[in-house]
Amino acid sequence: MSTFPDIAEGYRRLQRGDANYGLIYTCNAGWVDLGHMNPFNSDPLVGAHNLWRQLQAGGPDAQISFWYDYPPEFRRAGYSKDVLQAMKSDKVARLPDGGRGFKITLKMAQPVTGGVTESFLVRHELPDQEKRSVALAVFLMVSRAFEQHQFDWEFSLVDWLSQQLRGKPYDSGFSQEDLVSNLIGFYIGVGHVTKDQAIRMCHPVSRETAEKVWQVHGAVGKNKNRSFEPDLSARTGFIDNVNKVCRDDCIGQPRQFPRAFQQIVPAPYAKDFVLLRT
Amino acid sequence: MVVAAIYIFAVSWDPQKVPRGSVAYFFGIPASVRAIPLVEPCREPRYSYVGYEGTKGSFSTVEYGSALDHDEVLAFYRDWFQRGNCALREDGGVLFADRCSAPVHLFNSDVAIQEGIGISCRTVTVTAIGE
Repeated sequence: MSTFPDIAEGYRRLQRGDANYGLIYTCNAGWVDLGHMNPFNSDPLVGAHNLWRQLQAGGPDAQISFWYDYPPEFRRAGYSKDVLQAMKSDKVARLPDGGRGFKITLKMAQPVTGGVTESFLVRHELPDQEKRSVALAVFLMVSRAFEQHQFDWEFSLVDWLSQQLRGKPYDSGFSQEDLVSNLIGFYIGVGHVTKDQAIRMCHPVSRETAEKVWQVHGAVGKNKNRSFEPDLSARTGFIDNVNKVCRDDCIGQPRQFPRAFQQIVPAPYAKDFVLLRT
Repeated sequence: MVVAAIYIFAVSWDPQKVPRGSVAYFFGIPASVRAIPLVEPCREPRYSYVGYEGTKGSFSTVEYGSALDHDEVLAFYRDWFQRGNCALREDGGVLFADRCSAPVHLFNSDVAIQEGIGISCRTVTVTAIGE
């Protein structure tokens, strides 16, 4: 979740070619949180780039948790009795069709409430295209779970404490820009586009226009967006009182989420990956 | 004990512009940011931190005054970052350092220095993302 001062930070960093923190408004992707969009992280379990590295590296056969015989949601995944029996006897995790795989983990954490960490079993030796599909499916699942986790804390003691201690509400869950920024960051993290290309395709408006969009529509944390599609403002045109003209930074732009961020199809659950206990 | 814990939690949640030696400094500012060296300080440092959130890294700053001029401050931090084998670049008077290793425990940072002639104590801001 971003705050109004993050707009100044975002544009300051955008200007000097260091767009990895802050908030900007763009014609084709709405609000973009440059921090969420940054796929790189020092923690090897955090961020789209590290997720992609885990998938590329592969690993040994994953084991079933010591305390449980089966993966969670094994009923939903449609395991046969034979596969369940095999996992129970040798403790090696399997996909519903009996295939083996390696374990990957993605963490989306935050102070105070903890956050979400999920592990998955991924089939060995997938071609690159399928790996990307699995990576996207995993990334979307964990992103959604993390936003839901934040949302669940919004109307609680944490919100009250945040107001008292930080002077700002705890309204991070499904904040308007979070999921969209995560998705753009994913495409950067797996190497489909560079950060510069991504920003150009989104087409940032000026800082002045971004601040006016905020003033018209209100805080991004109050405007919830549960999808990976941006909420675009129709109000990017303003009267420039200095030059006495009407200015719209988005004239000539398609005002549509760039197709480059819709190219990978998320893999269906339980075909080449399933949830594992962490 | 419980009261002390509540107090520490309260002052350490995203502390802003806290001085060295304060409770918030010890409990709310990452050790890697506390370890950033200051060069010829002429104004007390102030530390700030905003916590990480999912894929978004944390945001820390230390802001202080230095009696050295712009180029001397940059040279100091360039040397320091080089000890950590950071990937360095400079743009518009700002020094950027990425993916440092020991003894510089910073992942993504930059140093910005107040521009201008005849400033006796210029503001230095070191920012670290993802600590």
